[in-house]
Amino acid sequence: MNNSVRVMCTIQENAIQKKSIKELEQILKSIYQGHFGSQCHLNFIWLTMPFGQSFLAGENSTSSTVQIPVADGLAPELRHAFMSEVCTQWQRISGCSKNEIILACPDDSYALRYFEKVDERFKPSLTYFIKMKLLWRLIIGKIKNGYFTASINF
Amino acid sequence: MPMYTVSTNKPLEIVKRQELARVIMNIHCGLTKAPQTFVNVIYSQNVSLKDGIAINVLGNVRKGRTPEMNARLTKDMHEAVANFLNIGQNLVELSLFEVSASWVMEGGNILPEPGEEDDCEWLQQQH
Repeated sequence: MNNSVRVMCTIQENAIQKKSIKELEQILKSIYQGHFGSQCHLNFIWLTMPFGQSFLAGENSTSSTVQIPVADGLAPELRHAFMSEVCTQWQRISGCSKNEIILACPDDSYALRYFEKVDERFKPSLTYFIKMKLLWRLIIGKIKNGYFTASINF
Repeated sequence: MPMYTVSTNKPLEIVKRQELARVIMNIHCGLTKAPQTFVNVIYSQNVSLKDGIAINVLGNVRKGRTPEMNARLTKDMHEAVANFLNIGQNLVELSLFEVSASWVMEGGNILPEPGEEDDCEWLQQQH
């Protein structure tokens, strides 16, 4: 597995305070390195959803979705121990309930294929431009907020 | 899970977003018998989709169902989305992407495998 881990967090707009997001980045990094080694480097992307763009069971949802890839073939007991700790700390820092976090810790190779699948929806001739636009907006988000963030709306 | 991501260029009205989320939930749960409380639908707007495509739906679903079930889910969902929006099926792009249930935690618990919901203690306690 590459030591660089792309962590994708999709959260409700204004649901988590800036200082809490920075704290989450620190604690998730610490948990990850504690479980899988200090050589792992986490890169966070925070996508924000305006109200009315997320539904659970057909009703407006306040859930956050977090994807943190782990090494391919990681044993379930190790994966689940990591996931439990992430969930607990996420709730403590964000103030959300356990029902407001959906955590996925897929194999690293799966996560890469998933990101490729997500990119397939774009018009091929614009894919590069769209990625550059997103990168630009993430950088602007970093300058303004101290972490890489952009809206889920392109 | 499932997590359906619906991408459009132009935003759908909020009422339509909720109604479509329910259409997706009903198709998914009607076919797979998954609990409604598992079904997440999120919308991404201003997306430059492929030429001739008005809406893209990517369903991240639990792995372990038969290919026949997934094919039927894809077909029925495709039809339902097109019918709901009153557009041709050729304008709808829909695909499923499977993820292992044991890689996902919701409500602080690891998801059960498809079809094992009735044996899942924490899930039964919630309902």
